[in-house]
Amino acid sequence: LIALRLAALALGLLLVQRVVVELLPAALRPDLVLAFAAAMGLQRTRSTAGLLLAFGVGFALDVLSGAPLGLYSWLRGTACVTTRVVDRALYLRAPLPWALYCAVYALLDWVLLAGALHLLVPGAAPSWTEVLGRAPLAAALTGACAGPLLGVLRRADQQTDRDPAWTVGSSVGHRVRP
Amino acid sequence: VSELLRRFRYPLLYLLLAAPCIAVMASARGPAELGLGSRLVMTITLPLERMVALPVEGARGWWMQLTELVRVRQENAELRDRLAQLEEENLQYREAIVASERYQRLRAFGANREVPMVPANVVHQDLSPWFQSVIIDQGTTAGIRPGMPVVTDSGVVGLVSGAAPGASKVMLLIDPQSHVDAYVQRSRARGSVHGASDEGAAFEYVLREEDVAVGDLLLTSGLDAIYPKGLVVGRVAEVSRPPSQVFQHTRVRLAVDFRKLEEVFVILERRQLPAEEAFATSDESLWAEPAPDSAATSEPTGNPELPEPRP
Repeated sequence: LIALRLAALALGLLLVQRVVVELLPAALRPDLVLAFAAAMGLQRTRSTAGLLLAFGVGFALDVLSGAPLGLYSWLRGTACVTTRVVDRALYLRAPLPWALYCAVYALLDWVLLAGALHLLVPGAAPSWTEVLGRAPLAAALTGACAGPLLGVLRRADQQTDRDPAWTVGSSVGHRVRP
Repeated sequence: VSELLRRFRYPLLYLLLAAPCIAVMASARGPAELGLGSRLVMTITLPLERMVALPVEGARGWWMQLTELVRVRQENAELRDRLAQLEEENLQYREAIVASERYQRLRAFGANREVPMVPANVVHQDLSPWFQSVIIDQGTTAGIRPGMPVVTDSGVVGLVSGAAPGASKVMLLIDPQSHVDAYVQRSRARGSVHGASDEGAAFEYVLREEDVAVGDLLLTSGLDAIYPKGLVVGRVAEVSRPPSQVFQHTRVRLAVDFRKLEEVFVILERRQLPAEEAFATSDESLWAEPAPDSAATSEPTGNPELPEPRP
């Protein structure tokens, strides 16, 4: 049930992303799906479901975009795993660190995307100049949206099953290390 | 092994999922049929996406229309201003073209005449309800004297009834005081064209047996000592011959449209009545009785230095 709820949330974010694409120019689009996939890396008790959701949401992006099948699945899954690794070393569970992390990771995501395409599908790869021109602003906007999004995800999850993992950043909770 | 699997479950799962992704991505070779997973994702997401996109697109379209409407309104105001400006310019150009054509006609008219003429513009219309005169912007400075005939390329306009240094008053042919000695070009029947104010003019003192028909062209005879011979006066518009009267009644449609009078020529020539011997040798028959019009007989004091009337 929880996984379904998170899947519904992912679907909602995909739809919001669709609205963002509709309303904003390419250079000013935050990547909400990336923020969601990265947030799945913060899951403690449902880490496997989080990883599957990250891959799933990436797969949906693959299907709904012109990207080669598997690209966004891999990128979003990697975002989830990376977050899980980084979360062990750094404190990411407050809006500001989370926003900063997402902004930095969005830049890395661009680099990974361009690198993977250059390596595997050279014909579809963006030039590095394009990446450098578009990535910083998009990354900053992704970070700006990721902070509030973390709050939304945390609240939704708390209302679902009171998962203590999401209360780490709040004043009433405590951080639990696995 | 199970302990290891449980411990490295997460990295293993990642590898299990990422490896096919990379493999599929690497093996992608152009367009291909979508797999079951892709079709499933599309089936689930696209209707939902469409549901979300529709109101968004609608709102976006509405907003675009609103902004477009504002822009169109501004553009409309600008275009209206521009249109008004262009219409004004167009009006000026058309006016210039009309004036140019008129000037060309008048210049050609002046060039075809041997007598000296002064072009002048009509600057004022008569304000009285009965008299018919205009004021032109040339006067004695240009050599204009009272009694000089005024014409256009269409025909006779009238005569100068008063002159000042910079302006002259012209009594029009339609003024009730105006009389012009004229003849029918076709039948040579003579008479006097008398102004009748709004009704135009009448061709008077023509005997009832004279051959005058509707459409006949009336020309100045030159015998009134004012107008040179052969200028167009107008055409016969209506003829009636009451049985009990000596003269026929003839209405004349004058050649000049006095409502549209803008430029005229003043003929710098005040003529004198020719000597009696001249009439004897002329092919034009002169009536025995004196001309009934004072205008035709009251200006015999011409400038002797001015050229003689042309035959």
